[in-house]
Amino acid sequence: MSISTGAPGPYSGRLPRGSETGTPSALIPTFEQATGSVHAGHTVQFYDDDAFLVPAVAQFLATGIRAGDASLVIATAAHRQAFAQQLLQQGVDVLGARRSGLLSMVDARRTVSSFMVAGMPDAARFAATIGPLIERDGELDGGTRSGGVRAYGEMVDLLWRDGNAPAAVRLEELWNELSASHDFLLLCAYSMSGFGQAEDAAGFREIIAQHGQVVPTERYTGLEDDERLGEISRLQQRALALESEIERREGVEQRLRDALAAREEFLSIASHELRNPIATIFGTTQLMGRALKRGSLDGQRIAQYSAVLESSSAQLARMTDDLLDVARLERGSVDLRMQRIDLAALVADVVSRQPWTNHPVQLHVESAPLWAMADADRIEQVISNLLDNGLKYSPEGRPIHVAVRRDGANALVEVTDEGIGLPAGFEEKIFTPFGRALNAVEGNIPGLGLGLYLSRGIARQHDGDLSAHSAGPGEGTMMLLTLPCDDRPDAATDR
Amino acid sequence: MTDRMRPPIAEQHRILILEDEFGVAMVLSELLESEGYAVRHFVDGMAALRATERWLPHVILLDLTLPGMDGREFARALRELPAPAGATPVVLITGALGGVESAPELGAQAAIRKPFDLDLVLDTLHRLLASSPASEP
Repeated sequence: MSISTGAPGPYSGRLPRGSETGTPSALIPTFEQATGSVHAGHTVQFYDDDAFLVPAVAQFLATGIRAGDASLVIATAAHRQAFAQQLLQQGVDVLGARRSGLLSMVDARRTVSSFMVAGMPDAARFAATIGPLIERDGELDGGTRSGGVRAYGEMVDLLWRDGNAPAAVRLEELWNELSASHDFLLLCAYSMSGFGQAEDAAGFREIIAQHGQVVPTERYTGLEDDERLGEISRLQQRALALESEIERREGVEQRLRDALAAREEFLSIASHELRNPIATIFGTTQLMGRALKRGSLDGQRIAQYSAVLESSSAQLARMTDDLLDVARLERGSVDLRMQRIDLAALVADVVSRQPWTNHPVQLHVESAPLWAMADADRIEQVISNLLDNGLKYSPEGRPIHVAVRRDGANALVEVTDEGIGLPAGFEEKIFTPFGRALNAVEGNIPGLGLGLYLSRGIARQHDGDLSAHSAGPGEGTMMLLTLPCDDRPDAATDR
Repeated sequence: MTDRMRPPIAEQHRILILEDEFGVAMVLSELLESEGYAVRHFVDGMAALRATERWLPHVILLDLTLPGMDGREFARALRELPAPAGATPVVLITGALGGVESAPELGAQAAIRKPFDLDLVLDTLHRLLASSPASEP
């Protein structure tokens, strides 16, 4: 800043509280102080409320006017009026100052528009517009005045509020460049409400860097000296808390996005899986109609088509049951009809009713009977699901081993296959709704991805559990169902 | 109705079905055999590719969601086979989300959404077979 002379104009950032006492803790430098760097006479004042800004700016101007320094105000109409009123209250002859040229006021919006080109301030136009305003003020009274020009500007704040951050920063630079050839003190004011977003941080830093002096809002400058360190500490704590809160919320957001993606994937799978049995039923009924028309619908055809219709209808019913069960499980609980059952007999029954496949199912019962309080239908559903998975996820011809045994107070059912196994990290994920192991998805092995989620839910409602164990891809999988035994000697009958 | 409208088939056309859902494959096989087509059904994409090279089907009916090599991979691998196998017309028969829409990018000549009308399958085949002269094995 080339200005090094001028009337001392102590301005307290603690305005309005400290203004009348002429407190020495000036936050905006005087002309004498504004030497050295190009930014030295360039101050930025942040504010929360006009009630603070107006008297602060008025005092900055009044100090200059009283010392015979010219003052230039580039502000909105509302602010120009408020500053003039405040100056009057401070005893400044506003009309006289304006008539003599000691005080000039121009409109910020109109002035900024005069040098903007394609959304950015143009250097030549800026110099041509602002230069004369500063020079004219500097030539007052035939050059007899004592100091430089005091300028107050809101054009940068307007640009910032317009969302044009690069233009605001560029305009600050142009003011700094202008100080090489012109003598002035510049006070810029920004409303803090314009920096309320996390993404404003970079622009905020850039704006601060353009100024030799930074005056925080009245929330800080309005405090007594002994309160300020406490306030800084509180702000530091708040910043830390906000940062960790942002981190926490980002985590929540990511989990929500993952859940949405899983649902989308599920809808896509469900659409495909439900269409297959429907296509079979629809196609088979059309085949029957055609055969009937041709007179070729004999007993053998009817039996064949009926079997297909029955199997596809059952497949569809299972899927819709699963979907309903998920809704029930997520809403609260599945209703259980508890009775005392022999788990060993139940498992043997499910295995014996398994439809013929190329997978031999080998049953090993170590302890029978094995009594437990359970809903027989639901436990059958779990064991069927485990067997289906074993068949689905292992190559044809490989056996499925089913073991029933007792371990302390628990009954255990192990269903072990020699199939595709589980990649690391999927021993839990396969129990989440719609969560399927990566190798199952990549292999396009059909399934809604609900069976294990439901099965574990059912097991846990029985105070038992269901877990998966695998040595890795290609190493097979062991599914372990545990249920508490019912050892009451007199409880041989159903409850 | 369609029996009446469709001209008789001059020679036996060969149709290869690649579909992992047993019921759907049964419906398509029964339909096409009753219409005089020669049909072969596959569940595995690699086996279907080998059969395409040897058997030279006139049309391939292709499901998209398949175990192992899926329908999209099959379609791309098919187009890399030398002609005439590599130029076999493909009809997608799919229930997958966005499946029908992916026909052009997979080089499929037609696409049918599950569940489907049997007449639509026959009409689509007839249209494709009428526009491309049958290649002899």
